[in-house]
Amino acid sequence: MKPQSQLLSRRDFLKVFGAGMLGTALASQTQAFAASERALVSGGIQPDQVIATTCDGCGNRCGVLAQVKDGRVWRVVGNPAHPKSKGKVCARGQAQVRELYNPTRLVRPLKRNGDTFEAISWEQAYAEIAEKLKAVIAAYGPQAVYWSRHPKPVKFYEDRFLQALGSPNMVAHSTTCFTGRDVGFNLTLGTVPGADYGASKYIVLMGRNPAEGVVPAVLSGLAAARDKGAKLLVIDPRFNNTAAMADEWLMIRPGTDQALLLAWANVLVTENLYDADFVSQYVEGFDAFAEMVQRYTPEWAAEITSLDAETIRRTIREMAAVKPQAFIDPSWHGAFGSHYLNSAETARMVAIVNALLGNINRNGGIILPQGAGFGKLDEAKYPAPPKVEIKRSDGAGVKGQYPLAIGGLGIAQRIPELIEQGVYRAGFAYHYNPARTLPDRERTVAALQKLELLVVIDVAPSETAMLAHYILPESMYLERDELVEVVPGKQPKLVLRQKVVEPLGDTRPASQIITELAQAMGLGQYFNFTLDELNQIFTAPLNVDWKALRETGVADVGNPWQEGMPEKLNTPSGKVEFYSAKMEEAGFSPLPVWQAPKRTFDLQQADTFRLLHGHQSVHTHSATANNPFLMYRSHKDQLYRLWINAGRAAVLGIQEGDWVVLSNEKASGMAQAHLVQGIHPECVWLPSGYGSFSPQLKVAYGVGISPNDFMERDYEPISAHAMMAEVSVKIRKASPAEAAQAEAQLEEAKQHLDSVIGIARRLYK
Amino acid sequence: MKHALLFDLTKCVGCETCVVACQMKNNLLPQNQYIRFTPVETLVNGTPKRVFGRTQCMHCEKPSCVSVCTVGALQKTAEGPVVYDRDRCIGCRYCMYACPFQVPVFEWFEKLPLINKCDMCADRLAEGLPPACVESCPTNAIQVGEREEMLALAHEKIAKEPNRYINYVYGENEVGGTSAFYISGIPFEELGFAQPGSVPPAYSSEAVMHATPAIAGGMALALSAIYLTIKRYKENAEVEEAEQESKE
Repeated sequence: MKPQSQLLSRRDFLKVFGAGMLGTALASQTQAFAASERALVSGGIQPDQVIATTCDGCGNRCGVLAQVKDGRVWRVVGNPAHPKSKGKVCARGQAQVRELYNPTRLVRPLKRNGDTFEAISWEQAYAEIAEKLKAVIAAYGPQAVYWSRHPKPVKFYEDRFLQALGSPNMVAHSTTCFTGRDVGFNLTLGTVPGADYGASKYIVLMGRNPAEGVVPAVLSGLAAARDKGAKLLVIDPRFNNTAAMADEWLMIRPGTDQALLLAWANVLVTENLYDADFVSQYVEGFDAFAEMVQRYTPEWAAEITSLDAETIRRTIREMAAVKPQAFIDPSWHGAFGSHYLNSAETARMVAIVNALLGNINRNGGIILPQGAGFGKLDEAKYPAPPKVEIKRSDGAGVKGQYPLAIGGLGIAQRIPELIEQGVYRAGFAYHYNPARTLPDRERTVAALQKLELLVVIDVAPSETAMLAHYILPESMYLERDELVEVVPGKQPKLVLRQKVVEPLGDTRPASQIITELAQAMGLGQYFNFTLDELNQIFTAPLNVDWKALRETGVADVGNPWQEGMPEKLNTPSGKVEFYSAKMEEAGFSPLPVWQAPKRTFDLQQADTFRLLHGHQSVHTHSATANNPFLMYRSHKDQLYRLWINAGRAAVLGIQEGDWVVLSNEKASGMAQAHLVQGIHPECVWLPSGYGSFSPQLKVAYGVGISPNDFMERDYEPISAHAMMAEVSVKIRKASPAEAAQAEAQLEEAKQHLDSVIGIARRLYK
Repeated sequence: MKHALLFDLTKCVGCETCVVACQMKNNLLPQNQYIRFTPVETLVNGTPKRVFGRTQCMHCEKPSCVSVCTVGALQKTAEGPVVYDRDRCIGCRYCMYACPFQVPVFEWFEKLPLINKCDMCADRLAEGLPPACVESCPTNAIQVGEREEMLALAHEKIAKEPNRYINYVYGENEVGGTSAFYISGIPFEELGFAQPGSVPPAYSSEAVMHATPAIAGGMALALSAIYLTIKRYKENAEVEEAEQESKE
């Protein structure tokens, strides 16, 4: 039998990097770190200083007020003025503050030297990277260089740098996250909307789980709506933690949300419950749509979704009774971000049912976000790099390939494939860890190792960093100034991340790193500005009081939101497109006809399940797994367990806490079983964020398994997302020997955690 | 003003924000928690229900921990919190055994372990600020306020939504009343909450302890009286004997 993948991975890594990988470079960084340590000495609850900045516990970048004591960041509280935090910061945001003092963080530039890394100067790193990059471009052209990232405020620098190199290949993580949703909404509404939680009377969360994928303002909005008597309906194959405060939970069959939405549309149309005024004024293609949904009766959907027809009828009638203060949440990743073959169509249907409820841009409904335009650089003073005419190598937004995929975001899971094909020769990864977060780990790791140059800019020695030729350490979020951002919403807000404390070690902000890299490449003329100058240029048209912005971290900009439809939506017809000519042109159905998920499951096959995954409130995928506070929560609550339906577990002889083996053609791995009633029998569920295989992430290493390991590299045809829930796994109870081995590995990981806390304990108190 | 906490368990989604916010405010190590979650999943009419029970100091009106602490390291304050003074604590762990809610824990991870527990952020309350758990809770499932007002609010919430809550305020009568109240959608027995009865354990010991001076004093007086009486009788007897002898 194949060894368990988590054990295999460890061996792989020792093989690839050698046991001496720690080397002197990483050991000495701990010493450098120790030199800058200071313990909190003063008592009392009043900080010495409070600085408004933004969080980095996840991609939301909530506003926080950082409290400084004795020159150290003590704690953060939510910035009440920030639209995403509204005075609250989640567990991740609270705990990430202590990551400044995590002894495993990166504190100096490192260069691969065979199986180990050696510390080098920034100047040497820039010179060598520039030399290799020039050689790649000379040999294969600029499109052989790609830049991968999790989008951050520094993207202005990244985009400009890649443009200066002449490459179109900017790739975000999005096709493993939300492109199904974005493409579906863009086709229908011309934008990705928000929602007005606090003022709603009926909120449907379809696959969305704000209690575990936390945005504090969404959670507080839901709680406020509930206090006022709103109904909260959660639709999810798993009884998630949001369902704990909901009024009703529907255990839908995974991948069939579109069928439920079609049946809801059927009821609205056939029972004449939809908002006819809204439809006649703002909808394109209603008649064709109305005819199509005739066949999608609640009885039809009941069979597909495993819900009952009466519940389907009742719930949509309840919504219609309180419309337009009723909405289906536009969601994020869950259900239709990048899960199923029908995710983009499901997103279209979410937009359409909302439109039928007449709630688009209404109080208590769906909100079309209000933005604010930034000032532009004067090209006479700041020459722009020439426009890139070369087509994207991954085919996102390219005719004949993935014309409806989002060009600006690229197709993340194609990176390894394009490396295998020799298209990509040199790559950058900024605040992004594709080795861990992309599907099909083995192929991804093997591909990244083939690159002639891989440069990683990050704060932690991630799995991808371990594969890099150069690791450039970024200052942590509380140690750097960044470019301003606008958070769209009912009132667009300008927000600022600013330095709270001096950086530890020899780290630099990414804006500086990219500028200096450009200079080393002889492209410094495109970066003849400081960060402050850029911020002034961007905010010039916004009439910003910078003194106040620095104090409060947030400023109102642009025009406040107004209820009611805008004159024209950003769709080809300017209307809500129930019928999409754009889809038709690209060779897809113009109407969102039922698309079955790629895989179906049969309960007669007792050992076979669909593998679902999701967020947990204390982690942001692998990005927080190395945080001792958060990983301690995982151990304490055994958060890395596999959720399995109690009835099906019984058939397989699996009891609570038993070690089980998951396997498919891609991987095999072990997890402890968590038996629950509240999960659809056809699926099992794993949290994201575990299964770290970078030995340098001492806290995260070897804990749990990642659902990504079991995914194939796949592309949904409309938006090119990775179809991360079209995964089948077989499950069996582990043998006593296997269980003992897994238990031993977990114990070892706990000891690593204790040793890291032992090193850092003076800094925590 | 006497403070109390009110936990609405129907609004808790188990995000553990309060756990970590508490650790940060109190400069705790990752192993050290003043708030411990005890989630319970049950079926109600065939539908799953998940409730995030928790263990956190109840701030009893008559705290057993205070009554057993031999060095006065634990004190019930007029403001509501039961506070703990690390400098006085000798780590005897009597309070751990005395607490009916199993709140104080021993710091096994420290070289010189003492105990620790939530103090309702008494330092923040003194400055008019809410405890860190209340401040950070994204669903406002935790509230703080004047004790009688919190108790009234708990009953008001139950009366307003009798289908959401069971009709019981945990902490109102437990061990003679506490300064932490819980309302829930499922019975507290099912949540694994302690059922210590309404008489504070401190009372039973106190009855003895308070009576001790009186009993001791009374005994002393009674015994003295007996002694003196006997002595008087003896003296009288001796005198009478002497008189008898002299007569004789």
